[in-house]
Amino acid sequence: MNQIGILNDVGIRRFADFLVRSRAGEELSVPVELLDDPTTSTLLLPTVDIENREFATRLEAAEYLSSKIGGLRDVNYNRGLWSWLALFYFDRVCKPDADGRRTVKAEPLYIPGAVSWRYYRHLLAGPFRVFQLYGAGASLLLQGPVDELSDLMEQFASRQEFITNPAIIGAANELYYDPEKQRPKRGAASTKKKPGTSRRFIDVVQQFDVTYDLYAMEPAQLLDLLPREFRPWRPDPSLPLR
Amino acid sequence: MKRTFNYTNRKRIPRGNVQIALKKQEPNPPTFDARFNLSDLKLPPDGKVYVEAYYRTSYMRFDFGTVAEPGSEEDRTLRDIDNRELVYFRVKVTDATGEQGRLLAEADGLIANPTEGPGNHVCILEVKFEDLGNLPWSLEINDSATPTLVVNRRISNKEYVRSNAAFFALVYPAVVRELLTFILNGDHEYDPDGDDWRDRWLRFITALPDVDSPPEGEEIDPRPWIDTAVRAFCERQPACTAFLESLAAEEQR
Repeated sequence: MNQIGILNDVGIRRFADFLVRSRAGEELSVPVELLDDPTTSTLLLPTVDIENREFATRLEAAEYLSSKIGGLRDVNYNRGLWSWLALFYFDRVCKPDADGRRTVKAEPLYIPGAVSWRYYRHLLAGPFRVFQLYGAGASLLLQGPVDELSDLMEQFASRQEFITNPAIIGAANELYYDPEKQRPKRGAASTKKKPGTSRRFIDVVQQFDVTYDLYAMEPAQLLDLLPREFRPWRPDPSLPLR
Repeated sequence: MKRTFNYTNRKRIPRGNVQIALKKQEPNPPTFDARFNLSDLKLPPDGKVYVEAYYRTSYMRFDFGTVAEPGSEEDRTLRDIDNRELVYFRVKVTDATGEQGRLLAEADGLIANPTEGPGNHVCILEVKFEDLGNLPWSLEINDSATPTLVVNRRISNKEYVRSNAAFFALVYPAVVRELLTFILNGDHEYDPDGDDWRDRWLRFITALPDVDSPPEGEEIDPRPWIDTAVRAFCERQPACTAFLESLAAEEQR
């Protein structure tokens, strides 16, 4: 059991340096010493114990982190904290293959950007924040492995008016999430704007936003407004929507 | 959010008609007061009024009564908003009788500044301090809200950022250039009477000597106009002279 820490500027720089060099092909060991070196990190206060465990999905990771730090102030945009957590869980957010090699992805997935805090790109902070807002009600965005940035997450969470609106997230979940298979429906996040896909949903809802007070709606009311192209994506109409 | 067609003639609430004051109450989250004049918008008296507060992924909504009888909830504590210094507001009027939830009027991207008080002036550039590593400053620009100059927390002296001649001369011309480039490369149509932040910036810039209206049409290179605008901005201050004077004053100390 460890206690959660916060990487300071030096710690973040050294973690970033490790990421850059790893991406350039150097085979380096993960700099876990930064986690509890007083020159590179401090403890989160009040202290919180944390376990280095496996996460089957982003939802599971978000649920666990919420149980640990969900009630604390000033954690959502704490760059040092999320950098520390990504380093602590590096074997989860950047899994080594059978030969021990890793494919290190873009830095913001592990260290939140200092300039533009696109929290949703961070592999732990993004799911944590979405879980804080909606719990398992945003399964559409939270299913999938914790080491992958979900396209659906990027589409919805990058739009402030979408990610803060329960009607929009609820309707999208209803349309595109398959609760039996516990994953997004096939083709939901198609990169082409095919009829009824999530990209079309975003376009249509943006048009609704100039006409309706979407924050006052229930997900079912928003679903009822959608044009026919979304019908094939809706669950059986005879079933209750929620 | 990207705006599209306004089929239902949703009205724009002029920013000057809305006053929002943020009240700090540390260690508790801030609260706010909102006052608005909707009388000249010809809105139905029973139209419902809401004020929404937001910052990034945090959001709260407050019932402010009706157009004819405005009144707010007593508890307007912004406890779910992630930032205590910078909070954006949106005022909405919705149809209470016809189609449920139809939007009748809106003002978005409103900011209450705790140090300036409500309604004293129209702010066209917010300033905030953040951890930027070794980056001295950056700009936050998007379509919906007043742009923000983000200054490295290590330079955490708001007065210096606002009035130091050296900081002004070295930073603000680049800020103006970046903002104008963003505006002219976007698809915003300049409305000289508009309340959008881009309209306010273009109004401010075109009021400077020798600055014409911004160029229109994709085929026109906006850079010469931006160069002229930045020069006019620096002339007005005057940025370089003030910078040299501040250097001379430093040397005499």
